[in-house]
Amino acid sequence: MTWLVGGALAAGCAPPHASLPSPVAAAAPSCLIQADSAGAPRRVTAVFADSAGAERARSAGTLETPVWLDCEGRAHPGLAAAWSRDSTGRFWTLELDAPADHGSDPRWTASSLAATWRAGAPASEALRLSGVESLLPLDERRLVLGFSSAHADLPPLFADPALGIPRAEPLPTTLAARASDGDLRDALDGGADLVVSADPALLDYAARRPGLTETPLPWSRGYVLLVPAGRSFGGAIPTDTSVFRAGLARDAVRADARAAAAPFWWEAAGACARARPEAGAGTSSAITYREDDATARELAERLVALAGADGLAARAVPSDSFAAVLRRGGERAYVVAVPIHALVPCRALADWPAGASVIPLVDARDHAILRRGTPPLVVGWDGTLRSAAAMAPPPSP
Amino acid sequence: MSFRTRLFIAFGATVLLPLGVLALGVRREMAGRLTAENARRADAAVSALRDELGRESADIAARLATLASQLAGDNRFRLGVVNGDAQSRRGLLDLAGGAMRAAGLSLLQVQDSAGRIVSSGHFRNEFDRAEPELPLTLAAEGDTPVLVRARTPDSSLVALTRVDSLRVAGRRFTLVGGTAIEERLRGQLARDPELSLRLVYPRGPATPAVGGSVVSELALPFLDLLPTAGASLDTARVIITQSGATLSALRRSLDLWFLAALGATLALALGLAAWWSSRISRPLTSLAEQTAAIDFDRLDQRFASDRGDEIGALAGVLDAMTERLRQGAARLRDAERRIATGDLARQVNHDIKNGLVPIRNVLRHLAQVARDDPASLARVFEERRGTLDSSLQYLDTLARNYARLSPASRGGKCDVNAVIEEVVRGVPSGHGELATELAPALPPVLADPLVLRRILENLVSNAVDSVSGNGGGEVVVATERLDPPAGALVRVTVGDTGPGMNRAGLERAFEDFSTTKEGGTGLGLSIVRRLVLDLGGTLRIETAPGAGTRAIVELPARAAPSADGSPT
Repeated sequence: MTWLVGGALAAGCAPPHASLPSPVAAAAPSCLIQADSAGAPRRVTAVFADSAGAERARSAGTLETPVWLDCEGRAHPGLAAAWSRDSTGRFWTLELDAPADHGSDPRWTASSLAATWRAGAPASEALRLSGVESLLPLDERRLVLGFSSAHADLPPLFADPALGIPRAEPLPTTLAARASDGDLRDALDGGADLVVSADPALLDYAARRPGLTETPLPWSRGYVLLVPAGRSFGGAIPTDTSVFRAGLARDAVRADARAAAAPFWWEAAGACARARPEAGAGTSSAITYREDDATARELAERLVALAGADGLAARAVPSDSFAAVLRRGGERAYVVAVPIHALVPCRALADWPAGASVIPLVDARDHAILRRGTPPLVVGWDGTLRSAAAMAPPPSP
Repeated sequence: MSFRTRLFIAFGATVLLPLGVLALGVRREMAGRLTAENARRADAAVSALRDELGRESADIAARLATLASQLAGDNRFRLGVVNGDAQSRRGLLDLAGGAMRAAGLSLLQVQDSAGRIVSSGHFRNEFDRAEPELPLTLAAEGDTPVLVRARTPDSSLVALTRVDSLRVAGRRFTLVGGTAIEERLRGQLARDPELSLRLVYPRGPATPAVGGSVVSELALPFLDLLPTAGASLDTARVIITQSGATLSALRRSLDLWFLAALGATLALALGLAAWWSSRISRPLTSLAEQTAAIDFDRLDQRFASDRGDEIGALAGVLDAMTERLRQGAARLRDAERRIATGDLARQVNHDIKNGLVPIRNVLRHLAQVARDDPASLARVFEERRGTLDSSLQYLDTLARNYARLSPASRGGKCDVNAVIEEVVRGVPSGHGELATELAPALPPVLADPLVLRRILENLVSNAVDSVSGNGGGEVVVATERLDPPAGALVRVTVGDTGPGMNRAGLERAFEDFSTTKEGGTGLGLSIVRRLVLDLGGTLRIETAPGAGTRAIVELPARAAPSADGSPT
């Protein structure tokens, strides 16, 4: 598997080579997943163990970004049917897709797209943090973006959901995704085409049921320990050794996990961190994690067990308030799930407490359980699943 | 202190004291009984608590024995122990959690022979930590229940704990299991809302103290596994307190009700006491006031009462006494009148004789001249005619003076101020200053205006004469209204700044025909006193040598004189 755009993802805030990881291990699964007996394209009912996965899948079906990256980093046409760069690598031209060709809203032109990006806070912030200095529509279909630094390969910014435009109408092959509200085995037995989970008990159950195929998805998220500036944590714990990380992945976490593997995209984002305000000192003695993240809980509990400090405890924070708690930085430490890849690293860092130490722990991945007859699916750069039928072949270089 | 006040206090105290004693007695008795009852309940609860601890300990031991038996035959456990692969190890790590929940325990650890945790139910990820002191301590305590404070991922847990062991694949493992005890103990006591439980540990936070008194205390072996505790066996205390809230509430309620009853009774008693004491003392006060008003000239007080009690009898006695005084005064006045009449007759006889003697002598002289010298009769008559005229004038004056002693009385409403103004107008000027100070809206008196005029003429004349003979001075005639309980009066005061009188002179002033004035008859004040008495009034003289004289007449405002001179 080769990341075609790997070297340029962090343009504007870090050295080009630091944005996307280097090509993942050769044993990584293919981006295309399908059941033993794949069916014709149709709407796929999908159930996710967590709400974030379901939300990403729904967004993938309703938002169209300029380009789409698969799990190997290959760029596929989205709003843009083709792209090119000038000889300096600083100016990139997007040629918008013809409406009839790809189902995009026919009203979108280069001018309206530029105006929408400038007006929308997430888009304008993503452009700014990625070093975009100018947006120039050449005509109705061509839009030129000027970067502050040269990009030899396609800037990953073009695949960022912040630049996504809502489709006029969902694709007929869009995943009907929802989060589980109970036992995922009920979803399997209820006829769901796809169930995404990391629960080994569920995988074991699925293996004993006929007509189901289980496939591991790519490593999509990592777990890190964030220690806010001025706080110390577990000096006796060898958190920086691969043995320690491997022990966590093997024994402490019940999901499919491995020791966190370098390089880490945040290590190249120092300029972003310096631009953010310092967090206030806290008095909490808790290792905090997001309430609905079982892997984060298990890691926090293991760290508590090993630290042996009096009063240190693991504490769950409701999912809807976890981001705010994390930004305040008042806890002793946080166990946080982060994406393996970050298209706009500076924006991803904005939710972390300023000046926090980042200790990588484990990488984790989900497994997809497919029912026989389910149409083939493609895994995106962030683990998002979408119907293979909705994919256009990547343009010729 | 008045009789009424004493009566009031006595009545109040008679009601309040017994009620207060009753309240204190009931309160004391109730508190004693409730306290004893609470003590019995506390003893029973503590006894049940000890039994519960023993039962729970035995139950935990039984469950651990069952678990040990099951684990010994469990392939997953054996594979986790024997195999080193990740899947078997993961199964072993998850094993204690499932077993703990299935056995209904709150704490479960599986340790190897070195004291290393191979699986933990209450803290899944504490594996590989060494806690050898835990099974060793529990084993040393035998069947005695031991409290263990163990870490959990998010806090700590205090559990009643027992230990068991098993052998698998030739290796010995210990099982430490327990149940969270605090809520269980509280649940045991929850049946009695008066009792509460507090666990006090050698280190670390105790459950917060609650109000109330300590009724019992249990000591339990305690092993603290928190990082800073040192994992040495100590003693925890289970302190049982009794809030006494029910007793306090009952006391408060009782106090409130007694205070309410006391207040109501107090108000009623004081009201009754005030009413009753007033009712009892009022006739006595009235009798006292009436008695104080009795005077020789004021015997018109009536004490008659229809009461049949002692006060009625006293009123009857006083009324009879007053009646006797009235009769005596009437007899006295009658006697005085008779004496005065006899004296007057003798005086008239004497005076007429005195007047007739010169006449008789003149007539005898004229008869002798007519007989002896008729020619000189005319001359002698002229010579003696002056004597005759003088005697006749004397007799005429005498007759007019005596005529004044028996005035014809004519009753009716009489304006005192009008009469005074008329009298003052008739006084010739040049005899000192004469002034009036008349009270407005003075009620009329029942009197003959002529009689009242005679009274005032006499008094004013005496006063004017007094200041005239003293080289000048001031005479003031004043009126005022008096409102004593016995009835309204009109007071007339005629004061002068004359020489005044001593006591002897004052006594003589009321005697008939006693006068210090030239040409006076000496009947003025005597007549005035009789006339005033006839009108039902009083007359008194206040005088002292050099201090002038004040004649004070008080007449009933609405009393008509009766035939015998007493007011009706």
